[in-house]
Amino acid sequence: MSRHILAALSAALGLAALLSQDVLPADALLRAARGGAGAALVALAATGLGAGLLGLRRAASEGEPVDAVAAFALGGAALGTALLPPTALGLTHPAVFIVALLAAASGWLTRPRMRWPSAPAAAWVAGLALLAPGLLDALAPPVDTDEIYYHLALPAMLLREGALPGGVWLPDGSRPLVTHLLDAAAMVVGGEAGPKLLHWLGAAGLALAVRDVGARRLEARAGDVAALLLLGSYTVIQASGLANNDLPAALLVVLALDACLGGRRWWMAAFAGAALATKYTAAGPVVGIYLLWWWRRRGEPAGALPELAALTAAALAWVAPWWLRNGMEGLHPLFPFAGWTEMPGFAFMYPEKYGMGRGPVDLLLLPWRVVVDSAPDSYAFLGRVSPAALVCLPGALWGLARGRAPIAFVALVSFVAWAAGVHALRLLLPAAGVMALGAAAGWRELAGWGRAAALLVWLIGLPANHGPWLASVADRAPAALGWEDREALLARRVRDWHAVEWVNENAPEDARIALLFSWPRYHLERPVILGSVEDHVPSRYLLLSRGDDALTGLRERGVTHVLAWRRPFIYGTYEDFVGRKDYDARFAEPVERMQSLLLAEGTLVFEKGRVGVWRLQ
Amino acid sequence: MEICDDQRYPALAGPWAVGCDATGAVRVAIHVETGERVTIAAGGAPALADGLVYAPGIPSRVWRLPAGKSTPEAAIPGELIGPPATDGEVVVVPLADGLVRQALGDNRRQAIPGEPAPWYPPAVTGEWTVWVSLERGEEVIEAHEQGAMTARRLDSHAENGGHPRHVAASEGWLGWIRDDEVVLWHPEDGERRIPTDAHTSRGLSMWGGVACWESWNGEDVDIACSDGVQIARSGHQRAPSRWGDWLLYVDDRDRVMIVEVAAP
Repeated sequence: MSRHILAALSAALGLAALLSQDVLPADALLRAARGGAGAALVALAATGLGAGLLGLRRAASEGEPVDAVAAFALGGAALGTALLPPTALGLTHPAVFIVALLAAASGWLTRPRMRWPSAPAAAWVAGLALLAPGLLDALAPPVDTDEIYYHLALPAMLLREGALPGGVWLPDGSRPLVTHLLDAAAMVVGGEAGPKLLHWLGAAGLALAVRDVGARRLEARAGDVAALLLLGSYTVIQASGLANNDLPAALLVVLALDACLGGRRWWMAAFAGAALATKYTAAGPVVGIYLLWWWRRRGEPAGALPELAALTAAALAWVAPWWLRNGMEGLHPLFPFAGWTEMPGFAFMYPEKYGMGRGPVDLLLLPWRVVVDSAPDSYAFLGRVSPAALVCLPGALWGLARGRAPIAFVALVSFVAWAAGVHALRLLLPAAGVMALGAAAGWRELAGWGRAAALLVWLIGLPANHGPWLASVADRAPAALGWEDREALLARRVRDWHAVEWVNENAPEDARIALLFSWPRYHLERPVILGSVEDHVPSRYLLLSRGDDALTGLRERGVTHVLAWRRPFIYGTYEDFVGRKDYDARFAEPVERMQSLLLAEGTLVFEKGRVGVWRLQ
Repeated sequence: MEICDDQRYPALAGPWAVGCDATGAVRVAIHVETGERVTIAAGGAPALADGLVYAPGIPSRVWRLPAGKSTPEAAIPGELIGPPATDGEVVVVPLADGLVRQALGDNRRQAIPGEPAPWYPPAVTGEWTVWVSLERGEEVIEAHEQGAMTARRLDSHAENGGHPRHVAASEGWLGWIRDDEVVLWHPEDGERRIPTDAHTSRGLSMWGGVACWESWNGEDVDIACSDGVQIARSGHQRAPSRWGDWLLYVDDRDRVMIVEVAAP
């Protein structure tokens, strides 16, 4: 009894000490608590829905427990898709999202038998240690470019403006928005940190799924190795605390692969389709998985072809609503990647901008270069992967040659598909799980000392991969923990912040803002159109297609103010693949035209450096 | 001399052209008559008066040209939201929570109630301080006379339209720009309105009762002054700054031009 009294006294002293030291300022604590609650609620609802879907099927057939991570991923994709009709109809009130979450959570009423993630204590400790900085990133105010123009901006705009973004004036919104609608639900409950914490949970789910699939389909240790390769790569780990649609797609791809290897072809189609609807760049690994399925059905060609067609149709059914939506809005189904009708041939992306060349020799050297020459801050792949991946490559190729590495085959197809496209490592992220598993399959082929050497290389390569990420997290950590003002971080890390702040504090309440050559849509507290995406496509398209009537077009859409960056391009970035004349026509001329038009038709009301706010006359 | 990150500089501080080096920060002063060059470190957006450069900071610094060495002044007591202003005797600093007026060489400060708009500098001459504020996003010109309890509203978009903005002051005259005119106002001599299209202006330059601004001619930007001086060459002429017969401006090749002018 006296020990219990002692323990209670110690606990009380500890609590008093913690409170006295103001460990976490109240607003940071509240933000973290609300974000955590939002993420947990959405994760629970998604898992309930997924478990209901998977469990119903299982109950009718195999009676196996439902994998919790698979349920989370499938339920999340299903919920994100189910939110399309109401939001497209303008039903964007927070109550709609709450009702949707409750409806999804009703999947738990089917009382599914769950298989929760399990791993040895050491694996949990290692995984959490590698992922822990991502929690700080998730709690920090958003400064990542992709978050502030796209992944958090669209959910925030949806909730703020009451309409599903999309069309030529908001082209990002015309992509499939499966994760963004789920993030909007997380934002309703959890505020700004809700979606980011949800994605952190998703990243942890990806690591668990990779480990689990590796352990079951390769060997126990190979699962650990695959998870280490995944979490030891800069490009993967830097996304762990950010809202994104790459890692969710990667998780669905791994689950599709697992279903394929387990002979559950309809679940393969379901996960593959969900992955495609989450991120189009999952197409590479999805094709690899389908080819693997086809290869495993060799010898029974008569039934395979119709089944392949049916499975493909089942997968595409996930993407079809988004194509249909674009079609109903008069857009190309694949807009914004195609269908810039007023300027045929207008390029959404320049693949040559990334990587180190696209000649035959360059492509052959790609596996080497992508590890050796990549850098997080360089257009040479714009990222980094663990050097241990290269150590595993010979083994993977050896296994492939011997016909005993189906996972490495899918990884190879994924890599080839990526090599045919844009050589930015973040675009390979949807294949990250299968690439890690493919490398682990290669690791399995090595002798004991080779396996040890691969792990040593992983360990030595860890600082080069986690270092740049930790440096940026360290910069954001004080704001995440409430020790630095949110505005101070934003002023330091968001280039156009001062102009955004001016608009938020000084523009009339009914102002409507056009962002030209500028990114931070998320932080603007007024209705906004345009804003940047790859190479500032929307602004260039407006200025090239409308010419001198560009600002007139904005005024006709109710725009009252323009927030613009006056120097968005540097010729050196493009000179290797765009001639000077073309550069002037496609990049420099729109900027010059914007400046002339703003001078003639706008009144400068704020300027800081090369960013300004103009009131349209 | 280069143009600056804040394109309201270079500008004239009496006979001194104060501008930037290649860093984009205000670091150079050149005498327009003798060509004497003085290196200063005035940072991003100093206040200028006849032969004087005031750089806000902790502490603030003052250069009395041609001396290249600065003297310390009282630190600014808050977050600066726009360039300060000086008439050579006092300095007015726009802060997030109001304006502060203090005599140079003196630590005493006076808080002026008001909510100055960011980016727009205030102006000061003698007893008068003038600034732009925003009400529901629309501009108001307010002025405060020493000793008065409250500021006086000189113009506002809500009452008169025209988005009044860009205040300036010199030798008892106050001035500001509206969409279709430049207004010069003197507490005793009354008001003068000059029709013009000055919408491209980043500011208004005043020397006594003479004002200069950017004038949009329908195709490009020229420079016009209230005493009839004009610079209307091909291409843009922007960012005028006037002192006596000297006019500084920037042409559309970003060259800093300093010319001697005479009123017609």
